[in-house]
This record gives sequence, C-alpha cells and structure tokens, in this order.
Amino acid sequence: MTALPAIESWPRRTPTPTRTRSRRREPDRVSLRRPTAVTAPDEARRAPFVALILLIVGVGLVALLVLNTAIAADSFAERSLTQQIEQLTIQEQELQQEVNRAQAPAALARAATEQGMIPAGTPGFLVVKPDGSTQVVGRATPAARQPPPARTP
Amino acid sequence: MTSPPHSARPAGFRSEQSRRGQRRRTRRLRLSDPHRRVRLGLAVVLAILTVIGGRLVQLQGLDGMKYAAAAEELRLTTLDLPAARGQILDREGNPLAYSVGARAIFADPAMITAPGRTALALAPLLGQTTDELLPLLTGDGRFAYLTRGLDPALAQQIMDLELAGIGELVEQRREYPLEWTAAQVVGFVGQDDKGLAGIEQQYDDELTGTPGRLVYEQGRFGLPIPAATRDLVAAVPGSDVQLTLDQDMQFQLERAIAAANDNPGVSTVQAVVLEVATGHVMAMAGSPGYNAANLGDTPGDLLANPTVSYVIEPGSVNKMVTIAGALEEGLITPATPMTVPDHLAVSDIVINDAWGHDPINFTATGVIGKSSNVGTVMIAQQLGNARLEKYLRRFGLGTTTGIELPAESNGILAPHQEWSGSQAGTIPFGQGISMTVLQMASMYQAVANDGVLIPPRIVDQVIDPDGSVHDQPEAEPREVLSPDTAADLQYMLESVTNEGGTGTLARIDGYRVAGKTGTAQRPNPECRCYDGGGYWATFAGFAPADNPAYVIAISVEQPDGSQHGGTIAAPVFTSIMSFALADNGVAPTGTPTPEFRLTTDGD
Repeated sequence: MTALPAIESWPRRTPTPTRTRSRRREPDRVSLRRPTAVTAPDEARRAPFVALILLIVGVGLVALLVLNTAIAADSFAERSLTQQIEQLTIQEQELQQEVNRAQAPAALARAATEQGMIPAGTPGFLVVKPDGSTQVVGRATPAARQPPPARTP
Repeated sequence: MTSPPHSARPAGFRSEQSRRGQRRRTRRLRLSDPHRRVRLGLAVVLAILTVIGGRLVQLQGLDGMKYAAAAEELRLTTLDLPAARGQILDREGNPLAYSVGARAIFADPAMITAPGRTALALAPLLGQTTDELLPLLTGDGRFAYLTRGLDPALAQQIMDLELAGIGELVEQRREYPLEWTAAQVVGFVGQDDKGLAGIEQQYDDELTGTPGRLVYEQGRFGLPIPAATRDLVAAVPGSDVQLTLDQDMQFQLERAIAAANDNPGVSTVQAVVLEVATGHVMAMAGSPGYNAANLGDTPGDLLANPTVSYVIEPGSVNKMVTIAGALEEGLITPATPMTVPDHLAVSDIVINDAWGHDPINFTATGVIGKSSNVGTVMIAQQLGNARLEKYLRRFGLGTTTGIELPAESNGILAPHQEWSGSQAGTIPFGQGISMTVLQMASMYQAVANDGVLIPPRIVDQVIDPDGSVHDQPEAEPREVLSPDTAADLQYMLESVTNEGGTGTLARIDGYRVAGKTGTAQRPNPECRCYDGGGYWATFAGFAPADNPAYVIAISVEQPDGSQHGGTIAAPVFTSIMSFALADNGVAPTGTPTPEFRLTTDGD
C-alpha cells in the first residue's frame, strides 16, 4: 500500500524533463535522434519486469506439471487403496461369516459333543437371604451320560 | 507469395534513392489503394470470422446440448451401489439373517468365440459341468446368468482368467448362519432379494434399503478422472429387525420336537414358547423344518411356519376354557363335587371317557386332573353354548392373534347357533374346534398371567441404519378372567402333573408345573371322518406353577399312532421347559405343592 504512490510518480517525473530539455536546447537533426537514445534506460528498466513474467510463467508451468503428476499419482494410489479396501472388506466378511456359522447353536452343540461334553441336567439354586444365610432350592441333578440326538433338527 | 523485387535486399542497404524509385514504380503499377486493401482484408477476415462464429454458434448454441450430452455419455460412468438388506436378529442381537456382498457371473454369448474352452475353464470354478454351462454360453441372447451369489474371492479368480464374454455383477447374498434353527420364523428371500416368507416377507419394506449410485468421469483406462465431477448418492442400508426369539431356546425346542417326530406314527410336531409376563414368543417351530441355507432341496409344502398356519383340534387342552367359564360364572369351585359316569348321551352321540369306569365322585379339580370328558360336558351343560362360545372367543379362538408373521390362520370356531348337537357335546373337550398351536399357547398365557391375555408378538424393535430404535407396538392386554378365577385354574391345572393326574411326565425336578394334556381324534382327509385319521397328542402348560415364567404349547400329530398327550407331548414340554428355566436362571419358587383332592371319596 505504501509503495503505490511512489510507482505512480516514477514514469511522470523522470522522462518528461529530459524530453523538454532536448527539444529546447538542441533543435537540430542530430538532436532529433536524442529521444531514441533516451528510451534505452526505459528498456533497461523493463528487462527485470519481463524476466519476472517469464519466471512466473516458468514456475507456473513447472508447478502445473508437478501438480498434474501428483494428482495422477494420487489417483493411482487411490485406486490401489480402494482395491485394498475391497480385498480387506471381502476378507472381513468371510471371517465374520465363519464366526457366525461357528457360534450358531447347532454348531456349538456339535462342537461341545465332539469335546465329550453332555447337556446339563436341572440346576439347583442357592438363594442368599438378606441375613446372609443361604437356602438351596430346586434339585440339582447330574447330567445323564447319554449321547444327545445326533440328528439335526 | 509474390514479393516485390527489392525485398531480397537487406533493409539496411536501402538508400533514400531506391526507396523513392520504388514508390514511383508502385504508383505507376496502381497496385492498390491502402484503404481499399485494408477494407478488402477486413472483409475477408470478417467473412472468415463470420463463418467460424456461425459454426461456433451452431455447435455451442443450437446443437450444444446434444454434443455435450454425447461427450458426457462417453466419459461418464454410472456405478450402481446396491443397498445392504437389514439384518434379522434374535433377542440378544445374534444374527439370524444378514446380507453379504456377492457376485453374479454372466455370459454374453455373442462375445464368446470359443465356448468349449470357456466352459472348460469355468466348470471347476463354478462347480458345474461343461454340459450345464455350454447351452448358456452358446444361447441366442446377449445375457445369461451362469451363477449368482458367488463369493467375491472366487469371482475374482474367474475374472482374472480374462475370458471374453464373461462378466461379473455386484449383488447381495442372504446368509442364514443358523441354517435349520428359526428358519420358519425368519423365512427367506427370492433371487431378487425380496422377502417371500416369514419375517423376511412381513418386514420386507423395513429390511430393504435404498440403492445408491456413483456417477464419475472415466479416463482412458477406466480410471476415474481426478478432480472431475463425481456424483455420489450413497446407498442407504435397510433397517435391522430384532425379534423376541432366543436362538438357544429355539435350538433346544427344535431339537426336542425333532426327537418327538422320530417316534413311530408321528408325522409332524409343533411347539411354541411364550414369555408369560409379555406374551413375547421366545421360540416357535414345527418339525419337519427346513434348512434356510439350502432351500433348493426342500419340498415346497414345508416352506411355511406351521405354528401359525396349521390348525389342529386341541382335544382336552380345551377343557381349560370350559372350566374357566364355569369358575368365572360362579357355577363351580375347584372343590365342587360331581358324580360322573363313564358315558353320557348328548344329542345323537354318546360321549365316553377315555377309560371305562363306574360313576366316580369327582371334584371339579378331579375332572380336569383326570381329564374326564363326561365331567367336562356336564359342566359345559351348566354353562350353555352361548357362554362357552363367549369364553372361547375371549381366549382368542376364531381370530388371528395378530402376530407379525404372514399366513396366520384364524382357526375354526363356528358361532354357537350353528353348532350341531354333537358339536355342542364335543367342543367343551376340544373336538369340532380348530386352533393353531400359537393360539393354544396364548390361551394358557392368559391363565398363567393371572387372567390377562397379552396377544403374542415376535418383533421387539426395528433399528434404523442411523441407530434410531423403533419399539414395535405392544399388543393391547385384555382381561380374560378375574385374578381369582385364574388362581383357581392354576391350582386345578397343577393337579394334572401331580399324583393321579394325566400329565405326570411333564414334571420338572424341583419345580411346580401346571398344564393340561390332550388327545384329539384327527379327521381322516380321505373320508372326511374320524375313522383311521389317527390322533393329535397335545400339551399346554406353564412353570413355575405359582409364579409362571414361560408357557409352552405342543402338538404331536400321529396319523398312524395313538399315544396320549400325557405320554408323547408332556416329555417334550419337560425337555423344553427345563432348558428355558435353567438357561434364564428362573429359580424354583420353593413353595410347597398344595394338596389336590380329585375325588370326594374318603370325606
């Protein structure tokens, strides 16, 4: 913001006195060539500006290229990660199915039987009374050692 | 390109003279007036610009939409995202049915150049023979399913073969991890994932999700163009349905009825467990059942839920209603004495007791404890047909219970005005009237619940994908009997499982059990008469008798057998009830069993 007035004043102040001076003091043919000589410093001043623009264009181009490459690379990475997600989802699904099948009552009963376990009989219950004493209710019966029906219901 | 002769000379060597000479020459040639030249050039440029501009307007403005659409068509790819169907869960959240991602493999016969080789490559992976595959690969159409519901990993193996004309589609497959267990309740879906039976059918709208889609711009290799438009409408999965069913109790029930079904002469067995306090169905099934994971091998007539759709004549289990009506109307008390012969003529038939005997001085309790038909009819005659029908209807007979299952039967209960003379004589003890096993369980739930009938329900809640829970409306409880009548009835029904009763096999060690046995003649479908039809053996009861937790009803159908409810149905009750009590930690009440007086002899 503070630099703005300085830039505005620059082109007006320097060339104008030069031009008026040459026209007034040397009105011959040779002096006519003077204005062309005067423009030389102008070109010199424009050079860094042109360089700046070229630099911006160059940097911009390179940045665009890098960005484009990065985006393309990311899209490849995205694809492979998506595929990985798919694979893992399928794997999770298969494992979950395995768990669900194994925890089905029929599968549990089968597995328990294979381990030599037998269905429990009627349990007895210990009732704890408020005064801390306990009372046995029901009749705990030992499980009958007989093979449970092998047939699937 | 005509160039003036001087143009070859470098500009720096051009003298003042030569420039003047050239000007003179051009003037002489009258080549051009600069203004005209400019105007001509302008006209040419404008003409070209007009043509270009016009074409631009034509392409962009007039036909623009068409070309843009065509271009988009080439770039845009729409991917349908199937919505997962909701799960069906038991009361503890164990999955009874759920969906998994699967693939369908299809063939485009027009694209297949070597059907034989394609069939050979596919056969081992699909588990089909080449003879089965070849007609599909060489058909006339451009699309044929080779298999559906394939595991994604296997489908990937097939796609890796890169066979021409073979493609895959993403779809859902329904899984029933419990296989046989609860299959009749859960039901099943068709190939289009539409529910065709059970809860799958009844709650199809809630279970079905809303499919989504992904529209994206596709580059050369089928890759999405990065940072291009991408329109994602996410699929909304269906809601989950949680049942009141307990998978462990369901399994035990199915195992018990399958064992009963192995008895000689037995064709089918049905059983229902209700929670007394709520009317919730804890388990229900009929045997033979089916494996939901292997429907293809099941005869079509087995794909139902017989506990709600199959009606039976209940037999003596129905005596409970007759006694309940007489108690409620104040006609009898449990101790009312009555002298009962072993036969009684009613209208055009003679009612017999199941065993021959001289007149017995029964109490009303003895009539039900010993299951006397004649005694029951004598009490029913005091009650009258109109009041008997009123109590039968109060207990829910003749109408559906309203349970959330398809194809529920009303049962058969004619208005008393239409009862024949013989029907009036047999309905009191459960012949000439039909009910489902669920209705039978519901009747006894009312007695066990101190006279308040809560119509049975099986769906607890519906859970939306966002986690919000919708409790399903509870059925309206209704008072069927006064609490006093219910208490008297509980006492009388407990006599059945005690010394001298017909249902002693229904006893459970340490617990007090109440119930009623039944043996009904089964109509012979061939002659539409009772001759040679066999029997239904039934049992309905609850435990603990003085503070009931569960009520169970059982029917054993024996076209070629004649076992009684007390011998073939009562043990099934014991097997299911003892598991239900132990598994749910229902302790015996520890109260002493009262004394039951079945006769007035010895007074």
